[in-house]
Amino acid sequence: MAAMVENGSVVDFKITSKNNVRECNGKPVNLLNGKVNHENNGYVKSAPSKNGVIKPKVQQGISPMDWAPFDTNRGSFEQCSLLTTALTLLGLYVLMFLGFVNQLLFRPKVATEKNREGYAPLYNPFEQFYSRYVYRRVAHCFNRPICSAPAAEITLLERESKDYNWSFRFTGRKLRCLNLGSYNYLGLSPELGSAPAVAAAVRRYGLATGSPRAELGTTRLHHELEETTAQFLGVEAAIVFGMGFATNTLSLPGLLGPGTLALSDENNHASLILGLRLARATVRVFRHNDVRDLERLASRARAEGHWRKIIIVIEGVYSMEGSVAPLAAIVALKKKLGLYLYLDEAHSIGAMGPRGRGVCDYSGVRPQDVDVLMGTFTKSFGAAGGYVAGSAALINSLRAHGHAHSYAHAMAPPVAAQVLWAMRALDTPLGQQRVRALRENTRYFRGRLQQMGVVTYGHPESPVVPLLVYSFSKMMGTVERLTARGIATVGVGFPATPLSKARIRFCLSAAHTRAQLDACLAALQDVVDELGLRYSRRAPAQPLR
Amino acid sequence: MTTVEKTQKKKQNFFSYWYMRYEMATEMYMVEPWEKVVVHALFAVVFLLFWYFNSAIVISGISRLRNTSTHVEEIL
Ligand SMILES: Cc1ncc(COP(=O)(O)O)c(C=O)c1O
Repeated sequence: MAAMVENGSVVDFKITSKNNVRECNGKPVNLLNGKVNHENNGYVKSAPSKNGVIKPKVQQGISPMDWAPFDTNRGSFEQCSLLTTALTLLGLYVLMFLGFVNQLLFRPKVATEKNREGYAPLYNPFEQFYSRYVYRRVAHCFNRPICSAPAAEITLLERESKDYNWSFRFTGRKLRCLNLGSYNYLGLSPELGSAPAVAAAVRRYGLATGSPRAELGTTRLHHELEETTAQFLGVEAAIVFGMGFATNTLSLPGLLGPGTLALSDENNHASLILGLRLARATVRVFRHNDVRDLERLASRARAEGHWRKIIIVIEGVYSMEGSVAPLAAIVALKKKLGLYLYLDEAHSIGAMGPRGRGVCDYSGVRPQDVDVLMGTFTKSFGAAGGYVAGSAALINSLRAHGHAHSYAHAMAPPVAAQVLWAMRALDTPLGQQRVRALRENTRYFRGRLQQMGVVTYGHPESPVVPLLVYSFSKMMGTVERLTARGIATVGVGFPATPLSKARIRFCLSAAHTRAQLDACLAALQDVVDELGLRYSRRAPAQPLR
Repeated sequence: MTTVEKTQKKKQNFFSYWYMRYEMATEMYMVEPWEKVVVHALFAVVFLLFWYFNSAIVISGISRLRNTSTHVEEIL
């Protein structure tokens, strides 16, 4: 921010002022935008022109952004060698071919519907084929049943399959494992002291309100939670919902509509994509975390001049890549071009920044500079639900036009009590210590992985750590071996990732002790040696103390 | 265990280890045994065909080129 203000020789003060005041939560402070040297930098002409004629002058008018003062780091995405990619794709091809032969020779052991002639197929044939003959073979690594709270350790129910994963049977054994698969960033599990507050909420308000918020579903707890959330984030107002996914899918249609343009990161979560589709907004996708690509799309859209609104839709921490959005740079671009910004902080709220306030806190951006702050309570806060926060006008509009407030069931009172407790706990010295512990664990774990010579994606401070293994077999081999050594992690493959980029995802938590992480790293070291996962071609970093 | 047995065991380990790595690299690790047989057979056929092609066509062609002295006569 400071750098921006310094070199912000704001010549076009009058011209931008109206635009910015309206678009930046009504805070005139935001006028100090980036380096704007040209008198007519496009704001004037970008008012909706009905006949769609674009004067060439407008396109020239948008001066390119000077990115020098900003951190535009996309995160680390080390490329693998061509050989690895080729082998992985060849392997997938062979798998599919074998699946095809398998399907020709044997009937799949699945339930089939009878008398469906003349009906359209219920399922996409390729998806069905893929899930039966590729996904099934690794199905035992996914959706593993658990029977304990997902704290630093977790209890898995062992299961086995006698027919190559067409069906499973519980063996009755339980495996106690170190948990590196839950988004329990702060380790705020219930036993830490929320139980009395939650129990009191159940006694007072019951388990559910039996009604949407707009009707009879609002309790004092909801008001309190909304106020606390707004205070926590440092903005005017907030609204909370019972489900994080629905927060995106039902709020975006309330904010956008036909005629608006959404510039969406290519790795955005399914809920954002669905929300944008439901909103019937035009969507243009930019390369993951690439501010220059975003700038190109945004200035072209500005020049087109016929969009009612242009909104950038990004996440704070990306859950599959472990990368962090270059927020300061994006906010500067948004201010310069007069765009809106929708930020999904599902994985960053509580987990990032010196005070655990998310990526705004981390990148030193004022929360008021982000138009729509969205987040969920499912990760750091160990509860359920989501919020949208921003200016009072925005929140009031969402109450009226968002579908979740009036149609979706209100957040359950005990859940609200848990979130309230967690949010307050975060501001105690103990809570702040958890935020620090998470940061230290993240640095330590990522540093050690780098020394090991494996490829990890993302930002050094992000608590989601994807370790690239590329092929399904290696993913399965790694997950199996780690489970046998008492480490529970999540393997991810296509369709959640690109075809040849299967990975193991470690989610760190403040609840992990150094000894636990060391145990995990030792087990991982064995597996990496055994399976040959040292794909990194970079020089290893200096040893960590 | 005698030293002979030990080295035998080591050899076995070596082969089973690299067989596992081979399976990992070709995705054979996660398929059913009969499917492994099919793919290994396919690989073997392709490998043998290449072998035959190399020995019958490529190597004989090269050796004919090397043995021939026509170009030498042309120069002379
Ligand atoms: C970026 C992002 N947004 C929204 C959600 C949905 O949140 P919830 O799981 O609370 O429904 C998720 C969950 O995985 C997410 O990663």
